[in-house]
Amino acid sequence: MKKGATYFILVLVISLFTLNIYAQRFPAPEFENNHKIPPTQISKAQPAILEYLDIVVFFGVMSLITWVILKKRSRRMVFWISIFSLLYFGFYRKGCICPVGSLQNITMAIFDPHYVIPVTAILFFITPLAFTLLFGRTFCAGVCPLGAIQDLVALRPVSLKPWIRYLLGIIPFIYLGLAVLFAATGTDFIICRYDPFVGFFRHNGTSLMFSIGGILLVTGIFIARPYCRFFCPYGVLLNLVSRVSRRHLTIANGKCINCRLCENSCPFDAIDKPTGLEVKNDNRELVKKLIIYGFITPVLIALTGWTVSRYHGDFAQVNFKVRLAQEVMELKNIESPASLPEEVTAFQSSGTPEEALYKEAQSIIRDFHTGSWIMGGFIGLVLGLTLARLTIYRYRNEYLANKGNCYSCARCIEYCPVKKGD
Amino acid sequence: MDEQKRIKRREFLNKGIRLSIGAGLGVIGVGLITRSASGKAIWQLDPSKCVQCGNCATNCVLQTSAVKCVHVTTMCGYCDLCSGYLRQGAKELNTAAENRLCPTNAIVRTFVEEPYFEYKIVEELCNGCGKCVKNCGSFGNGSLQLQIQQELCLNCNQCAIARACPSQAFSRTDLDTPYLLKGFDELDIGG
Amino acid sequence: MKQKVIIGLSVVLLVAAVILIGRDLFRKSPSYTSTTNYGDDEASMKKVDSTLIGYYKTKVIETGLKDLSGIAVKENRIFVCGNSEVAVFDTSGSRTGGFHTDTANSCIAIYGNAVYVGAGSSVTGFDWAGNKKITLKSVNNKGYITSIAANQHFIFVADAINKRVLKFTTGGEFVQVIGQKDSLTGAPGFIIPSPYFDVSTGGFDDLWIVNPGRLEVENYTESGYMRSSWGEPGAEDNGFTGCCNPAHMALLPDGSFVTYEKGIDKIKLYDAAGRFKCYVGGAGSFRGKRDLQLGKNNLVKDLATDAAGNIYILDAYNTINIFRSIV
Repeated sequence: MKKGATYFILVLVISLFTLNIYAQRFPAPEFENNHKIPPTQISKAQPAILEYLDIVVFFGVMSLITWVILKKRSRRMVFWISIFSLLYFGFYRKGCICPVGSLQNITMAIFDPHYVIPVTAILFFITPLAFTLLFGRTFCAGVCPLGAIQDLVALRPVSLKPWIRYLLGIIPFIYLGLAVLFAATGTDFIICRYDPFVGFFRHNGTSLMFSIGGILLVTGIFIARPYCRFFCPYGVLLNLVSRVSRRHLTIANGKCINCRLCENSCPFDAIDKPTGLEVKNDNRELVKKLIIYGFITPVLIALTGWTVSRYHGDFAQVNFKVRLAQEVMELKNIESPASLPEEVTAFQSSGTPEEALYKEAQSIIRDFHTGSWIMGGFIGLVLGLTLARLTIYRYRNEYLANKGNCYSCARCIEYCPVKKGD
Repeated sequence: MDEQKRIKRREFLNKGIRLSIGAGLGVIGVGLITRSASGKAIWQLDPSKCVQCGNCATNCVLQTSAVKCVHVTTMCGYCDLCSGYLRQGAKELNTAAENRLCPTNAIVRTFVEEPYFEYKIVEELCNGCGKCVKNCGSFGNGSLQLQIQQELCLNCNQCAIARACPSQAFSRTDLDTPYLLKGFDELDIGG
Repeated sequence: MKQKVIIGLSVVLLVAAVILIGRDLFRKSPSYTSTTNYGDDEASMKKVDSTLIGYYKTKVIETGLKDLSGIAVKENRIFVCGNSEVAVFDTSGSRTGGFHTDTANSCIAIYGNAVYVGAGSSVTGFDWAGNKKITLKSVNNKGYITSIAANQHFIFVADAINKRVLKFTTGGEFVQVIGQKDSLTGAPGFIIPSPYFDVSTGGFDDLWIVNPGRLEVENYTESGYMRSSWGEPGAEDNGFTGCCNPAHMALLPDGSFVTYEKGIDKIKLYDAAGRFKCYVGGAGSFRGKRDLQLGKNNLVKDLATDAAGNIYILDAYNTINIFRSIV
């Protein structure tokens, strides 16, 4: 009611204001035959109701899928929920805004005080993480439309050797680092720009988008969920959070009998097999190794940080203002260029002094320098910690879903003969 | 016994990390919600920055761009020889198809009274190329302006046209002020 | 074996995807050049055939002022009006005087000792020291004065919004309206779609008024009868382009006309009979060789001439450019 009243007053004030200004502006001709000047044709903006509905549906589906995975434990239901998500969040809502991209909005909101972030972006970012924190990666299984479309083509999944998985598994970290770097400097939303499947949802996209989408769908027949495993930057966050989740999908619900029927059921190699011998970790050896890694990791961080920061100029080139400043500087030296690029003439007619542009570009380049150091260091940290983790011997005597990598798709549950209970 | 202690320790560690992640999420959520838009944020084109480069027609993710030419009729001069309708350099002064500027013939010209003609844009035909906008702006009153038609716009998280705009004329605005037309807030009387 | 091939191929494809993304993200080529090349059209429209240029620039005076809108010349003194002031420069470029006015000004004209400055819907006559002498008001408060012409007996004021030229005595008394649309006499009236409406006085009983909507310049007697007109729409050198041109006009002592057309930014010289003679300059004649976009401003704000036949052009950069005939 109050919002309606303020809206009405706003419209009234604006119309009065424009009427008043209209009297001062050079007027349209007066027609003798009393011809009325038609109004300017502009359509109304679409109301936010669909966005709010999105949040309600999102929350609802997240709750449903979590219950299905942990309580009902049915692969069938997970599959059909993922189809629903694909149709609703994918083809109906055209895949935008999605939690994967929302991390860029959050980043921009943190670093740019002027950026106004829509509430939907915040909720889309936090909800999957919150659910994951409590129940594991249930988002990936049934709600993410990108995952759902890949699941559909995973017809002949092939198991990958660990070293391939670890090598390709670095890519999401790099992608995350770049996405955060570019979003923080206000340069671009690269996750949206290279979204492989939104082109299919929208029935339109650049040829690059379709190429990547096509590659991922084709390889997805044999390497299941390639985007999720080897590209998705949000998946990095879900992975890390899921490792400490309170509850998680279990294959046999604590009653594993080691029948090995589920061994090859996971297309994503996310099942941790029982280790053979129970070899106690030699504490002294462990401490020695940890100390070694205690030294290696910071060195790695410094090394990768330095290496990546050497490319901060190339990263900065992606930023419009930096590129514009360079063009303006270069063109000053040319006497009479045949034709100036559009952005240079647009800049020259904007009236902003060149010095201001140079200053801003330099400050952005400095931000990129700092950012790329941090990003490089982050990659180094990840490498170091991964190496450290590999040295620790974890004993297992049953088949467990890897808390970090498992998408909770519940395929393995169908193979497990243990009676569903609890 | 050792085993139990180790498991307990791990559980404790996990719990601690869980709590801190939860707290972190909470901080992010609450911190940003205070700065968030309660309404929807939509894309807006500033016609005073627009240089009519033609990228609007080619970069939109939609087949036919959501950017269309809008005719601010109160600014129009109703000229016979509208420079947004007729192209310059025509051999003969008539409204034959080869003399019209719009590549999709989206401008309709109707006679009002001597010497005034009214020009209307057929939205379905307009592709947002901006040729008419450019000429109207330099020769005439600038009553033809490019704007994002909000009914058509998908409101992408990152507008593909915004990324390609040479004058960075795109920005986010909220639902209450979807359109920005130039010529309203200035005493548009030049020298 | 087959599995290895499949895995190998798939990994290669995935790596290819990464490389594609990387290449697209970090490519050096500018991505902002438009695919439509309107720039070429615009450049060719604004191009002036250098063999047809009959004037050269002798002096450039940077006024250092802002928002100038009108220029008038009298005896080696250049008067410019604009942002609430009138400034006087001499032909060597130094400022020799000026005075303050109450409001922003749109046009200026000089005759004898009087300086007439237009602002909004009225014209104020000053003496050269800046003392107010007379005030002329248009038909109503909604008017906008775009041009003033004065001779020994009368002052002619062009009001763009009311689409009339008003005639006053030098004492400030209103005499008559000239050129208004009249169904009885069949006078077609002025078509003024935008605030560009110039008026100049010629020799005895000669009043030249631009009718921009008809793309012609009309000749009236001082009592308001239209004798003749010249000018036609067209993209060739002799025609006026666009919907409403010329935006500015001035008369030279031998009766020829200097016109400025907005849109293509061309300054042309027509002889006394209205035939195209030569170009004075184009967009390339100002501010060095770079063709800068000026947003909503036209390149030329006003034109003036002196008794020797020099042309004074006030451009959008608030610079006075003096041109002299090559002949």
